[in-house]
Amino acid sequence: MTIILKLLDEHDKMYGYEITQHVKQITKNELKITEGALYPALHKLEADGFLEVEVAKVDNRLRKYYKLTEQGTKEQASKLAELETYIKTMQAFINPKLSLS
Amino acid sequence: MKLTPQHITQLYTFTRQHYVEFYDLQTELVDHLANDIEQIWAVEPKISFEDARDKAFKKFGIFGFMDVVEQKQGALNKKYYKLIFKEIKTYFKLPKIILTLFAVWLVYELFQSFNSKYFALIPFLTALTVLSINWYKERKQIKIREKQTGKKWLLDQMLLSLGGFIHIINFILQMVMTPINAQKTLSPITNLVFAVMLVLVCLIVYVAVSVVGPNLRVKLNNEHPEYLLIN
Repeated sequence: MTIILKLLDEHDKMYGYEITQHVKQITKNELKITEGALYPALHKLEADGFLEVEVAKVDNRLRKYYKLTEQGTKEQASKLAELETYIKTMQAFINPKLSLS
Repeated sequence: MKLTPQHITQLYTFTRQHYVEFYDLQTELVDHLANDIEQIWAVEPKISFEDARDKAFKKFGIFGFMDVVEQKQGALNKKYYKLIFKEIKTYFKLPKIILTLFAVWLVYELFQSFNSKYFALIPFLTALTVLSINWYKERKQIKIREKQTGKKWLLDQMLLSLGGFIHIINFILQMVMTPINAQKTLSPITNLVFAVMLVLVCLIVYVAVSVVGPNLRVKLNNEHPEYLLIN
């Protein structure tokens, strides 16, 4: 969820397939958002009011774009801060600073 | 290589065959499959459309689109409840709370002023009748839309059952019937509880049918302009 929100914060609007491709690219295939998990996550975020939808005709088919709402931008910032704290805590566990006393 | 309009039609049929009957959801999945097929063709240009499609579909896992459909329904219901709850809350704040309390008092006084315990059934049955009439009207409209566009919409399906509220309302009605049948006369407390319940049921139905439902329809129409063309 945090990854999706972060990506949408960096791009004005994105569609489902584009999100999966971006995640693959950025993480060099280390992390894959599966199709079966991506759409339920997007629909949940939309229902929670964090995303809004725009449909446009592209290449003889309809494409559904997602955009962050104002509430979604706030949520993105707080989720990211939460994640950063978590990572810092985990790092402190893995590499504890040894002090000589 | 790009997909042709015929391929897109075939993909819509494919999603229908895999239990996605609603157009608002099919559209997103069709675009996803189409993008993936084009991507597959970029790497393996000789692969047939059907094979590329099956390859793209496999990425959805063994349950295919089923999870996506189920969770989409859940998410839409949740959104609907939230919007109804948000609207209902305004009826418990100034100034609308005056109206709510007045309605409860009025219904309570009506219940009190009639001796027959069966009188309490009349407003509940009236509410049920209004709800049934609305259901039939709504269903007719949806059928016309389906016939003219050949498309089914998830939103219509949800609004028809009031997002499952129909069952809750039915449950409340059952709860009301039981004490009415069991008691000889109704005490003022029972009358007050009934009055609150009746006002609450009416509020939920009013907000769902007249405020939240139309708002969601307008929103869907902004996404898919063909949706409300029929109305």
